[in-house]
Amino acid sequence: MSPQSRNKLPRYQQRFQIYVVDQTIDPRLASVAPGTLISGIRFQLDPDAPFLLRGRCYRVSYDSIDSHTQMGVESVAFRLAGPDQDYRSMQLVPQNLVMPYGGQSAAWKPVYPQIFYPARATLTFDVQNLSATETLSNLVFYFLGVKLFDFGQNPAYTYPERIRATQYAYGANYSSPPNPNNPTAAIQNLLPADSRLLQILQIKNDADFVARTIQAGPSYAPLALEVFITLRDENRKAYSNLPVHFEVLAGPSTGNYLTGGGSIPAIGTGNSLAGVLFPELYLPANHILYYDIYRQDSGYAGAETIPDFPITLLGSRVYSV
Amino acid sequence: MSPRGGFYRPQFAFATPPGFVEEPFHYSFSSANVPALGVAVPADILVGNIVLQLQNDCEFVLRAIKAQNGVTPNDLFVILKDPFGNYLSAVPIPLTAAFTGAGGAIIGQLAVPYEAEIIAPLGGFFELFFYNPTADPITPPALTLYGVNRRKPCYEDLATGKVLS
Repeated sequence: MSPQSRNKLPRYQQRFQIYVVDQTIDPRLASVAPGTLISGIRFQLDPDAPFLLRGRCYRVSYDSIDSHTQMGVESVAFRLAGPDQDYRSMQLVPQNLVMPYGGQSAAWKPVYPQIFYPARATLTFDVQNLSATETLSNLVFYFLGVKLFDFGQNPAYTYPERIRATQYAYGANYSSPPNPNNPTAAIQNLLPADSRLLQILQIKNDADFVARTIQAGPSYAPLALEVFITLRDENRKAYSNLPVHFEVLAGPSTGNYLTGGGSIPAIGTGNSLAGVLFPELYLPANHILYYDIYRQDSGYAGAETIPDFPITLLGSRVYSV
Repeated sequence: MSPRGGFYRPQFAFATPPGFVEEPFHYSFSSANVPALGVAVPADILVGNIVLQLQNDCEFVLRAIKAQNGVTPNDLFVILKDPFGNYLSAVPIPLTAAFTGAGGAIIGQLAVPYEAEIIAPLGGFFELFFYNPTADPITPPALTLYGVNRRKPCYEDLATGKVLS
């Protein structure tokens, strides 16, 4: 990179990042009984870069295939501290007053102004289950934002000086040349209990691709319940500390949400309002995006193998002119 | 286009070119005007080159799409081909993800923004390719293309050159 080009760049290179805090970080989140207060959940952020927190969401496990509901998700109260253990609310705030759907379906609750956490800072928060009857199972919190790196620490591919661009989309299992036995480039035959590491999306050789949004999940039965994705760059460095639920990352919304008098599907969210990757992922021609996919549905009665689990990355092809 | 111009801008921050006017316009395509949309796609079959013909009176600027499925998702996969012959995805992608808005059961289905816009020439056409990954035939949905018609103004004040309509 020439000094002239470097001068045009901002001070830091932002990198898409999601931090996940679940029962593997704090075992108390595995099952939160009605009325229980869990205070002082602490999670140490990565040591490689500071983190700017810009959005958050939370979820619990689905109850069953037929009901497809996250029981008690409307009963979570929460309060978050900044990097100096400085709480950002006096009391725990019922989250159904703050965000619909727990911020899932890529409808993240914006954190504004953003909160700066230094590298290796400790993220602290408190949680309470306000329900009188429902136990929260596998409560998970997601923190969305960017890491800040000096330029050169990570690959910093970007646009040529002059370009032409067209909209484009890739199936995440696409490789060049394409596999004729997998015409949709979906994840094929995803078992009820499955884990596949370092899956590959290879960009075509005739143009770069910039991924700006992501969609995932089948629209027809058998539907997925507990499927998680880890995106990785070409150096296999992950964009999250743990796998992220596909409905959080990619925006589909197949579940139902309790209203008090029944349940309804989400309104205004969903696959067509895809999960936004910010900053966008710039993938040069022939380069590879890695990802891991996990499915943990074997505990649900009636769970079946999913023949085609699509993951679609949408953005632009970029041609140098 | 130069990336120095800035990609990070509000959605659809595109000005009307000088000397043109724009008016909201949409195209609806169903089995009534595109017979192929009324024919079920057999299992594991790709049906291609379904033409969505545009009018030849002015440019159409595509800014949103909606597949009209009612309250039931359509399980077809789709490739859209623009009027310039570009396939807009490497493989068929889920129709329910690409062009189907949420909220159909309750508040009316939302259109899916198509960003950046595609400026279709006079008399141009989009093409659809449907793939059915399921074990049963599926009938394609009706589709609506939302955007604006861009044309020269109809009326002009000859003295000042000011556009009146």
